[in-house]
Amino acid sequence: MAEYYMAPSSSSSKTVTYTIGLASDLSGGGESFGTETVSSAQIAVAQINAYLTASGSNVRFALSTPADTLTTTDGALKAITSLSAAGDDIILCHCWSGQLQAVEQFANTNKIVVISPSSTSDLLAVPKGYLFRAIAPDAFQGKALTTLLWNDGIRNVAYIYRNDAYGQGISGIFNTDFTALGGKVTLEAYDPTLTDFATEVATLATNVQTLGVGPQTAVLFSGFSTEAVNIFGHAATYASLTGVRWFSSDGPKSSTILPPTVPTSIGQFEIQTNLTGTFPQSITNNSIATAYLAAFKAQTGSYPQSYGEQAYDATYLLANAILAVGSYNSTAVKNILPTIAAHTYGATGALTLDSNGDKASQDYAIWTVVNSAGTYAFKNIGGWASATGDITYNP
Amino acid sequence: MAIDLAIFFGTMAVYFGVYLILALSLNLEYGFAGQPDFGKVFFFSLGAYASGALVAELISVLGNIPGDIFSAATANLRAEYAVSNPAGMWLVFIIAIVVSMVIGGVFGYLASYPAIRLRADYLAITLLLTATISENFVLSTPGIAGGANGLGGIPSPFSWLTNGRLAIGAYAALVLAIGVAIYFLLERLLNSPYGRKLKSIRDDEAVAKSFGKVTPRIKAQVLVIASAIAALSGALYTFFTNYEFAGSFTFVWTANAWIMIVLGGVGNNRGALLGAFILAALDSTTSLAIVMINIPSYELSYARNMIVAAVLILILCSAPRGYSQRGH
Amino acid sequence: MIQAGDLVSTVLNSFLVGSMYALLGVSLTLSINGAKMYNWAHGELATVGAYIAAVLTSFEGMSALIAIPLAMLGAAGLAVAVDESTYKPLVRRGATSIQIMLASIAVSIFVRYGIFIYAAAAFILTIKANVETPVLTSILGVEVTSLYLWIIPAALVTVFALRTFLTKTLTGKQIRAMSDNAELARVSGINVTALRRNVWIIVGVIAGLAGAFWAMYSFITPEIGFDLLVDSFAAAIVGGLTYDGTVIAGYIIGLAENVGAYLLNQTLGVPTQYKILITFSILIAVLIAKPSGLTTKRMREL
Repeated sequence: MAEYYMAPSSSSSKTVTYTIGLASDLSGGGESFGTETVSSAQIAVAQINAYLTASGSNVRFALSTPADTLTTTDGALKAITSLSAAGDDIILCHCWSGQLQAVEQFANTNKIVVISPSSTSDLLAVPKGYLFRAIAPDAFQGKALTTLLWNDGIRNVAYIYRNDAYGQGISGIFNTDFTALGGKVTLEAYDPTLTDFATEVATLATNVQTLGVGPQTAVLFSGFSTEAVNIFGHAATYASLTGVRWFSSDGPKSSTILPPTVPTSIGQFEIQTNLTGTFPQSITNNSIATAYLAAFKAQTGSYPQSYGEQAYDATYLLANAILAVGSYNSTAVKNILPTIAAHTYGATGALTLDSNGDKASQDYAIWTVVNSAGTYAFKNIGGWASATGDITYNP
Repeated sequence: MAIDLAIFFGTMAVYFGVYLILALSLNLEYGFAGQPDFGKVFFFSLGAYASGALVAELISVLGNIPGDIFSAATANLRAEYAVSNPAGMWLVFIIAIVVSMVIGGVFGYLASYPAIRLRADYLAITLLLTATISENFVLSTPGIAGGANGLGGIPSPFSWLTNGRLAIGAYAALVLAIGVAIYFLLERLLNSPYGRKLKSIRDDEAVAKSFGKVTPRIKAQVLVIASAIAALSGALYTFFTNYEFAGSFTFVWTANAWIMIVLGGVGNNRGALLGAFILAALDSTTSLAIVMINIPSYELSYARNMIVAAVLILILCSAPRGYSQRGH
Repeated sequence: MIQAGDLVSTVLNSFLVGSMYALLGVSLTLSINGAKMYNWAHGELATVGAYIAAVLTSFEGMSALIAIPLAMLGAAGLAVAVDESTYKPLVRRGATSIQIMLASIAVSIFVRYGIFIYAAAAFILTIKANVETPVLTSILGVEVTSLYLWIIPAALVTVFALRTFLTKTLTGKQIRAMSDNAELARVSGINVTALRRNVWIIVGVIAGLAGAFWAMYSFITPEIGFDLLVDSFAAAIVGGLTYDGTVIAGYIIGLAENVGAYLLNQTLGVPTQYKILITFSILIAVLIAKPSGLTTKRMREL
């Protein structure tokens, strides 16, 4: 259970409400992930307020109306400046790495705390002043993937990834780690704005054949679900591509790549290629995560597909920091946040931050796609522990 | 929570200045010289790319900062340099702005080749496609402007002012001053004999040709000037965002430029001023209002776009020349 | 290193994609010639057709044989509605072609974000048409599905039908007369208003068909039509705004983007992301060197 730092209850019964600013992708390609962050933050705030009420405190938290970051860098900057103009200087922002870079200077010069649960590019693993990330950079996921593939006997990898900060970051890390072990990697980036990836898949098929179709060769995919289904659809028509195993990073793991949302042929492709991937998740028994997932399901009707747990934890971090400081002081919150995080265990595990303001460690669940009696679902089959760097499989 | 007026008005002023310069550029091209540029964002982006590259290279020399200019670590070092070296940063800023305009002008000159040979419709399509392809190309080519990661650490020349709100206000004042200067320079130009030549071309190209005005050369000149101004706008915007990313230069910028001049009145610099002001003010005010008033809707941005589009259609249908008095 | 099977796959795919580019280009050409304007909202006609096909087959379990005609009707309805509400009034007021183009951009934005709102609310920001396309055969390890039997013949038949309509029927000939000289047509007693409406109906029908096919071919988003606009315009312009030329251009662009990009990647190491540059280069080369397109017919003066 997370600890709460309580400022002494004021003798007056007047309620003090602190508003946490909320910025998220509510339109554009990131809409489904952005709305998850909003729901997760709402769940966190509701729980915190319930706890505060029960303890007799006069402090409450509220969330600002979510400002739409439009899935663009300009949109993120607009959202943060609007929130700051409204007086909300402590912000939870569902920002991908480019958006985070776009708001960095503004946040630092105007002393605005921004925490993101969804930026994982390793390229931003540098000190960022008032910017924090409640999720570990992809250096960890790269290691997890390397271990996963290597342990499974894979020595040749045809990597196809999204040409953006996420895809470039994680493919670079994987390439370094995997070739250091002695493996071989062929890299292929695709432009995510294109409508169709037939050419890319043809090239991938050729790459796989160049590496040699067999149990030692695999395809690794890093991208989002929308491209995944198009790519899987084309790949299913190539004997070379269905003849090797497919792996994936966390990007496409969402119900939108499973039947019945997609044709059963794609589900069959995923089973046939034994699609296996990683996902940032605490792998030890985590009652906080369980409770959060239940609350999310109750509120929205389905489970989170993306970084909902990270958003939930980030909200708690901000609230705890404000409580410890005792006022809505962004500089004081920025200074105390690492200390608070070091003593917090949340839905994603230990929230300790490193010197760059990023989550210092992250376990990854190993998932695969299963088909039981015609119903397709994801199943966690094991996990990679960042403490040991080892993978353990469930019995 | 109280409204932070300094940030609200400061950022709105910066957007107003940037939009104004962009609108003036398009107005010169289309409103006065009849060249429909549906690829405006391309020239705007050139200013951003050029500024980013120059700032990164110059500061790494002046500030003795080694390392990959595209890395976030060197971006941080550049930000620190700007805080402690105001004179050096101003030098870098001025060089970047000037070079951005030159590069904009060069590409404007290149664009004059298709502009002279193609009909207006085909020119519009060509420029629009150029902007689309450019975005794709820069995103896919890491060396130019940071590719898919973009380039950060492009500090404002007022970074040395440790008070953030003061820095924004000062920068806004600078951008507005530049915008106003361009406004008056263009007014001067357009009320000169050269300007009358331009208007006669716009009004009837065939007639102007028959009077012996050399239209291809004038078209090229206009494109050079307008493109340089558009690049300037892009450069000034980049020093505000401190970060440039190819994927942000989408058709939205071109559409905004057109909305501004249609709103304000095509062929009229006062109209460009009005249109830029309306856009900047509406944008900032509605964004703030949404945050402060509890409007729980996730599709607000979509609705906003639809409303803007509908308003544009209404204006075109009711007064195809916009609402400002058409200057002569 | 080029693999025969993969190369064959790109060639096959070129014909699929090229067929859809041909349909989009042909309908765009008709709207340019018949309505005398460049319609930036053309892509949205395809998007509407795509979504109608996808939703009806996925959620209502309709057969494609019913859903696709409905998609074509929907797109036609949109085309007529847009013209009656926006383009025709502007033409009556004497708006210039650039102003009408600007209005079409606004229409494009309006319709596209309307579809976004609907799709977001219905959780179908990305969707595919649920049509069974069983594998027919396999060429060099590449599966060929019945999708090829849907799309390629339909595209060719549609274009053939359009050409026959324009050359053999009275209405078609009147449309061509109107395209050549609207004033003369009106003066000769042709009902130009009704003709214009017919033009938009046909444009919508063909564009909607292209969209429906795309929903069968791949996943669609509310932006699919807008994304395909580059290729639509490229096909129309490279085809010199003629129907035969546009069809040929559509397949050329399909081949360039698929086969060309693949070959460049395997031989010169050019990343596949640059494939849109190939389309663009072809277009620019044609515009600079031979603006009348790749046909020998004279470009119609608008």
